Amino acid sequence: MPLNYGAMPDLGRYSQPDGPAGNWSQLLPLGKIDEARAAQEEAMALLERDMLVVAETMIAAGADGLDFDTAGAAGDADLLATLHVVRQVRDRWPDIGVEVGQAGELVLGMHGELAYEGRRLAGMWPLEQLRVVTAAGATIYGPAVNVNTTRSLAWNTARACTLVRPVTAEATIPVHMNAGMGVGGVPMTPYPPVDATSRASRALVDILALDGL
Amino acid sequence: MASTHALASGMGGMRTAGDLVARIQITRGMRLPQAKRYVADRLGCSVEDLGDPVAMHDLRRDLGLGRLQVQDLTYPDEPGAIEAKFHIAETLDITVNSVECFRRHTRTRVTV
Repeated sequence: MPLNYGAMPDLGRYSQPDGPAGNWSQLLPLGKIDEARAAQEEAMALLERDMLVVAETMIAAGADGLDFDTAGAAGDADLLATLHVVRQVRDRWPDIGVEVGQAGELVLGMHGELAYEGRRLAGMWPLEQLRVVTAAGATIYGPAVNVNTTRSLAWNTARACTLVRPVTAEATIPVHMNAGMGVGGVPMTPYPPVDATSRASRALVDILALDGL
Repeated sequence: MASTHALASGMGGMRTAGDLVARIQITRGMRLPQAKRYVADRLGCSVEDLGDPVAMHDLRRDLGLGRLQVQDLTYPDEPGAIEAKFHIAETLDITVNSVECFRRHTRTRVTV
C-alpha cells in the first residue's frame, strides 16, 4: 500500500502562548489589524520552515507522498503557507505526490490581503481553492464541507454535493473529498453510524464523480 | 468509519488493484478514469478486471505485486512488502520513494 505522511499545517500553533508570534485571535477584537497581520506573517515563515524540515525528513525515510490536511484551518495565512511549501516540495522532489486537504468550504480572511499568484485567498470557495492548489503543483485536492449539526444527513449531503460539483467538473487533478466526522455530510460524532456514512459516501461518489475519498 | 467508506465506495485496495490506482493518482495526478485505464494497460487486463478480487488475485501473483491472504495463511514464496514494491515500480513505470531509498541503502560498496 502507498504510505504517505500526513500532517496539519496548524498555523495557530505558532501564536502565543504556544508559539513566539503574536496571537491574532486576540489582536483582531482589539482593532489591532496591522499587528494581527504582522503576527500571521511571522507565523507563516516559521510554519513553512518546519513543514519543509518535516517533508525532507519523511521523504528521506521513504514516504511515498505527503498529505497536508486541514490546510487553511487558521485562515488565509495558513493556506498560503501550505501552498508555498507545496510548490517547493514539488520543485525539489518531482516524484513525490502531494495532497492538499482543506479545513472547510470557505477560506477565512483572518489576514484578508494575502494572495497566491494574484488570487486573494480570503473568501475562496472550493472551486477557487482547487485552482490555487492546482497552480501550486499539488497532485490531489481534497475539498471539505463542514456539517451543520442542526440539519439532517440529507440536507448536509446535498449541500456538500452542491458546493463540490463545480470542482469535479473542472479539476485536472484527482479530487479526494474529505468525508467523515462532521465533514462531507457524515454526522459529527467520533463513530458515525454505518448507514449514515455509507449514504453520504455513495451520494458523494455517484453524484460528484469523485476520484477518491 | 474508514471501513464503511472502503466497503461502500472503495475499489478493494490490495484485494484488487485499488492500491495501484491510488499510486498513479497521487504520483501522476491522474483522475480516476485515466488512472484506471493506465493501470489496466500496464497490467494487461481490462478496466473491469481491476475491481475483480478473483481476477486480480491471480494477476498480482503472476506479476509479483503482493497479495492479501485469501486461501493460505501466508505466501512465503511470493514477493511481499519491499520486494513487491520493486515490481510495482517496474510494472507501473513509476518512481516509488521507498524503493529508491532501499536501493540507496543497499548499494554495493566496492573497495579496491
